[in-house]
Amino acid sequence: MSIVLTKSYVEPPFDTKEILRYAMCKDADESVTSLLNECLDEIKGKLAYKVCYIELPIDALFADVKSEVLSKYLSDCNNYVIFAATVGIELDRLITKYSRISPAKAHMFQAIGAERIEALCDTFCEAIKQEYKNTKPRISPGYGDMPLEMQREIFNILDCPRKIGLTLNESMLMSPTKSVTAFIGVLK
Amino acid sequence: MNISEFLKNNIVVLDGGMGTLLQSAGLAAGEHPELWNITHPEVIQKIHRDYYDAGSNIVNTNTFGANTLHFSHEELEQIVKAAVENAREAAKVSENQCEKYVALDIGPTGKLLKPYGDFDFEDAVAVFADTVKLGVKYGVDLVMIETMNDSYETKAALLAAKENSNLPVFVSNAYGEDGKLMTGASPAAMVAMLEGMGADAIGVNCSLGPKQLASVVEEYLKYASVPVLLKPNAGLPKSENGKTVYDVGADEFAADVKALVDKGVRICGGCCGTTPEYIKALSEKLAGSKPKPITEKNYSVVSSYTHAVFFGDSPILIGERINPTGKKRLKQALKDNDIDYLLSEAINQQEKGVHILDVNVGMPEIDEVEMLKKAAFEIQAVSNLPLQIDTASPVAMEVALRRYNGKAMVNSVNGKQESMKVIFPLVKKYGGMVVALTLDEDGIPMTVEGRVNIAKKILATAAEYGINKKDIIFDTLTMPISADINAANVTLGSLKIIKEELGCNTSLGVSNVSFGLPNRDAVNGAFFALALSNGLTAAIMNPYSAEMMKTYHAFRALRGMDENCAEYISFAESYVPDTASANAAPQEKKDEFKSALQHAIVKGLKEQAAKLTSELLSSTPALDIVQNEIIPALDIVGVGFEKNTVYLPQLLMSAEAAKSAFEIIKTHMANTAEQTASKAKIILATVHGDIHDIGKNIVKLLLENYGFAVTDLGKDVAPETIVDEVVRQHAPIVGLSALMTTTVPAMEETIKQLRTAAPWCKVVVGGAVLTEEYAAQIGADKYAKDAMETVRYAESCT
Repeated sequence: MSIVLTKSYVEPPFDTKEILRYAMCKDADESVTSLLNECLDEIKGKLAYKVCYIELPIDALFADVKSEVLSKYLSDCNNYVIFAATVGIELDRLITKYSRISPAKAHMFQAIGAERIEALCDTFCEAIKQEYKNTKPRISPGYGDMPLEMQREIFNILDCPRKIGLTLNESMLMSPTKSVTAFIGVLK
Repeated sequence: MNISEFLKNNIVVLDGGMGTLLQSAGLAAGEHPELWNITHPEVIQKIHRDYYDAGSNIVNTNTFGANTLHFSHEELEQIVKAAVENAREAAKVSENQCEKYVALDIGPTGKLLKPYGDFDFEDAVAVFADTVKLGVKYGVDLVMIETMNDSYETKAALLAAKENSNLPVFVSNAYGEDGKLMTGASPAAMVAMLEGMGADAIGVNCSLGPKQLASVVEEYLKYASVPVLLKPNAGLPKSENGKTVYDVGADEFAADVKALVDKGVRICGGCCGTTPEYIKALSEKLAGSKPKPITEKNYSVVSSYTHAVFFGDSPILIGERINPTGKKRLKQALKDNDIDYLLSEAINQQEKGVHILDVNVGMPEIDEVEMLKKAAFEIQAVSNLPLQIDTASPVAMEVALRRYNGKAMVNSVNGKQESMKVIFPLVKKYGGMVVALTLDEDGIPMTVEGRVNIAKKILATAAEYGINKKDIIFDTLTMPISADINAANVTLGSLKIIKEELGCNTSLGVSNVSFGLPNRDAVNGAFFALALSNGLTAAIMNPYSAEMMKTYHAFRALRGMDENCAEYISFAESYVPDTASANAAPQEKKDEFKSALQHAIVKGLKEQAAKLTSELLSSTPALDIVQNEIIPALDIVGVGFEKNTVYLPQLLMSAEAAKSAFEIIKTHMANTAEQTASKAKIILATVHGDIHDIGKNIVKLLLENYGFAVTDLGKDVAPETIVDEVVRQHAPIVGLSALMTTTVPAMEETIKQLRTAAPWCKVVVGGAVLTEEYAAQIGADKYAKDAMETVRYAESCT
């Protein structure tokens, strides 16, 4: 029987263009660039890059979830990998801190967080692709008609709090906030 | 023999993993293992029995996730009852003759506590308390809190166990590869907090194998004066030909754990991936081993949720800026409930290099209990420094200590019986290092002998409460030399004797010595140097004072505490005398703006905006600066933002520059009689269940810049709280924010309640998931797509 595995990654390279896109800044003048660099100096090396995951046959779970998007997505798969990824609490700390004293920095850290978690997911999905060969692009609860309530079962299976320190609240929000849960379909 | 007695002279063997064994017995993914106590008692009993047979002295009940978050109260009672019975039955039938005990197993709730999550500390205590009470009712021998990866939740669980049972409580945390808990606490910080609260044994389990946990365990052994526990995984899991295997086998595991028992671990077993085979190998390996005696460690230490601060070697700086005495701007902030000002003082002091923050919010017009609770909570969200809780109110002291995430400094107790009677029990219960003032019913003795005698009396009384002298730090009271020329001599003389003869740590509020004299900094700096050379361990001081920081850095270099004088050099290089920076304002093209201040705001230059504002204040009324400089500059940026020529980060940087200009104006006004009229009152909140508040904070910043009197209720705010505040202030506008579809219903409910209780109030909403239609559908008056639009709307309403 397969169990939940965990992985830690080294820091993926930062994509500043992508960060600025998340920061809703089409072109960065000198002051924005120096703000971004200040934030990057403060965050580099301080994040965790953790993933926990499990591979299961597609009929093992979510019996009562009705989602056309998910059914269609899984129609050509036998198995899927369910994973949860987080870059840890440090970004939440910095965002909380700066949202009280420097919303500009908080905003920039928010953008960095968005870029970081995507970078982590990309790294993980690439590794899964190497391992399983034929995989589909990931999809997450909340996408299309996939209900956010699926998060409960995902958390239940993956034991996220224990494996990677990721928690879920009543409103289906994750803490640390810079986190993702998703499915990767493995093609037949 | 009970477990505490057994522990005194024996190495205690725990059980191993439960989850993997249940899975091979057929537990499905996602199924609650705790229910198997009732549905499959024979399976659970067999596993427990196998562990007892393998040599376990303690097995944990199968109650890791048994709490009222997952089960109804009735279900929970059945589960705990069955779980204890299963373990008892296994102990009875096991043929092993060893001492056997049953521990109530308590794991984490899976929720993150505030401020980063939405779970309140007291709610967490209540959840753990329910499980503990049932464990006591059904007769367990001890409580085992384990696999906790957050210090605050660990505190909640330990507090619940201590308040609801007299049983021994073992506490075990799960450390990551970085040697820290998920939320950042170091082993030394955890030892400080858990020992302070009276845990009977502490240690480490789960996450990693024994080799990877060795360095964390060694930290525990170095700092702990109570038995240390170790329950590692069988290494790391990996996938091998479709099967999951752990990479450390039973014999290697036993040998690795034994190596740490030889170093002093007294309680050991296994966690994920370990089986009765591992425990058998371990107990055989340990046969004949002598337990290493536990020694009392002599560290004086306080802690935060990330790290410990040790007293005694290098001097400790305690920032005094969050104390309203003599600080008009802070008083004003406390009256206005302006927590952000306190937070900026916390962060600024940390940046100046203090090690601990004093927090005192006592003043006549405010509810000190509520304010201290709030201030301590909010400061811990922005700073990871340990706090010194500073209050004369025992009620406020208890509220703050209870919710403090770590082991705090307690300021203060004194030689009066009345004081010791209320403060020492709090220190005993919540842990803490207490500042003891050398005064008593007869006042402050004017002699060294008098003050030292009070210190001795305090030490003796503390011992009666079970408080060790390492947790007491004496303040021999700084008095102004302008009133009594001998004052400093008595303070320093007492300090020296208490340090050298009583062997205790010492602390002084330094600045008071110069009261009534000109150029106070010079006197303070010299007094600080004298105190340090007489054995001062900690100083409550102003880190913005250059004299104090110079003395501190020079002292450390002179006393050989600063390797290669590196810290002194870096301090000296970064230190800029006040006069040098005054004319550094850049002269770049400012033609497009009316003035330098406008230029600074538009370009988002915080320091410059503040400096230019203070210069202008000498010649221009505050109100004119706001009207003719700050607001027009903000408008330039605001219009640019609306036209998409200025982007959000730039808008925010300008808003911050404007805010720093306003900060100067506020300080000016607090010190003079000048007043500005604010525009309308606006209440802001992120709705219940939602913990995102960046958007809301941006709106707040801009509204404040435009002169509105904003009350920010924070995030995850219940509808009732918002309604009450709107009614109380009769506020004409309320702004609500929600980021998730799942929290929009809470927004709708808030609007519904507002319509009934506050029909006059306009509701403006915003947040990622909202649209104009959606906003109309839930009954809002206005959907604002960004902060500028909120400002425009607020202006149109008033």
